[in-house]
Amino acid sequence: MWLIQVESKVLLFFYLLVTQALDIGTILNLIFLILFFIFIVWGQRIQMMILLRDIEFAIGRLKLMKDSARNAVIERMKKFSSSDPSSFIDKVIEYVTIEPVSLDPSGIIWKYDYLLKTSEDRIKSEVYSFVSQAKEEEKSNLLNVLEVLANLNLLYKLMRHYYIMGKKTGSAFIIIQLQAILPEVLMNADALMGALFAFSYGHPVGDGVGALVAAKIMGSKLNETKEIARDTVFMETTLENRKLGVIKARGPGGTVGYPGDAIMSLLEREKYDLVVMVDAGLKLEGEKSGSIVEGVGAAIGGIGTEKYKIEEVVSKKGIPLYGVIVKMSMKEAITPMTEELYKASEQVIARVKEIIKEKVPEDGSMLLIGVGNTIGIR
Amino acid sequence: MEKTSERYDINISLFFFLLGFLLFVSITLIFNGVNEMSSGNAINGVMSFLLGILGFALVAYNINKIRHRLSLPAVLSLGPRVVTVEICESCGYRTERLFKEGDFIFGRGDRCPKCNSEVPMLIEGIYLKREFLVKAQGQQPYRQ
Ligand SMILES: [Zn+2]
Repeated sequence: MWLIQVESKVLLFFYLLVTQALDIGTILNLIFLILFFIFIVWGQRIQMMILLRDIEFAIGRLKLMKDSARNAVIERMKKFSSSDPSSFIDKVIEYVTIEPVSLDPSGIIWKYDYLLKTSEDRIKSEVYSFVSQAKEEEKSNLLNVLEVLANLNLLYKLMRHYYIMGKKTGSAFIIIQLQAILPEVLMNADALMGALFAFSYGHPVGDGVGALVAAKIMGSKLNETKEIARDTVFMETTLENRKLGVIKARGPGGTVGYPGDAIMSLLEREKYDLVVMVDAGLKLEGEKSGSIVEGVGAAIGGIGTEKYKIEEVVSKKGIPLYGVIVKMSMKEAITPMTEELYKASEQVIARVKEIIKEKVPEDGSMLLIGVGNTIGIR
Repeated sequence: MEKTSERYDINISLFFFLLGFLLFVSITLIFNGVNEMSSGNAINGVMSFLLGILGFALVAYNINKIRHRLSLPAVLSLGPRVVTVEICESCGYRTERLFKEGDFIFGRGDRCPKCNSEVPMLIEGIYLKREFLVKAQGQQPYRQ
């Protein structure tokens, strides 16, 4: 009974308040006063909730991208195989390569090299036997597609991990850090989505500009190449009346090859006066895509095994090592090659011609390595 | 894994519900403001009207943000912008067409439409063109 009495009194109070005491100015004042106290007491928590909501949306978007990428890969693999590929894909993208112990780092490069090749062999054999009806280059493109999907999956899982951690611990520091890297993560995810489609259709990608330069210099002699290392081809030609050896990954399937192995076996039996590497390099924001920079040293990315091999062999033989780098963004490197980058390959060839004229004597020889993923380039 | 993904969905729908409520309140405030203004209660009317506009802007901002977050990236429609440049080795005729699967640089493309030579044209380049309006092939032009 007393509850009803209290309730009716409260209602009466509000009724009087609204009808007689309050005009809109007083209401606004009251609202501001209440908001002031709310923000003093729960201000940080409200801010964290807003940040968490931002992160939640980003993770939702990452999940959307990951799922649509997975569906696209499933559709792709169904073309070449009669059985349902979804469980196979889920298994393959979770494969891990366990890093070798680095307490005693001497000789670790060769362990890395061995592990990388073993893991490549393993995934290759499983994927190739699953899509046995596909063409050779389609098979190697599928390997690339699965790698991109694995990256996207990892990105999603990592973000989700830190999101749940942040929510569980309520730690402002985890949440703020997560929110700070959000734009970059989403940009990378966008780039990975582009890469997925480029690799599944077999478009040449920006990273392939080095391979494109090598292929253009090989020109009509592309049929005469021979394989000197796994997925890596070599041929000899002449440029500006000098002997020129050219190394690139074997196309048109998507692969980067093993230029380190190639140069090691080649320099064992032949002598070169100069080694020039052409590769794609990450630009800084604000730099022009397709601009060319030159330098000294091994222009090659990746985990470092190929770089080590190249540095090792040229330093032992005392051969100068030059690099020509075409600048591009991370996204341009893994999505279809843009017109600027394609045109930059002509400028690189002009530069290579100048280098061979300036640095190599008339009867000398130069070795050119076109580094990068050769997808869509023969 | 599935549980967490469901949770995002619930939160998003709750969010939409709150947005809808805010939209309703804002519209009521705007109407109320207009009424009060026309009945001569200028200050109250303007206040209520402004509050309504504020709420409306908040809703629009949030919806725009969600649309951005939930939309798939534009690269999905990049496909039609990749072109293949072919050159005929016997007459030098050069064409540009949409990329089709199986094309690769220094591979063989279509037969030359000009001299109809036995050897198919050589694919000279494949790249992403910034503005490539394909009308002949009947595809939707892509705009950024
Ligand atoms: Zn012709």
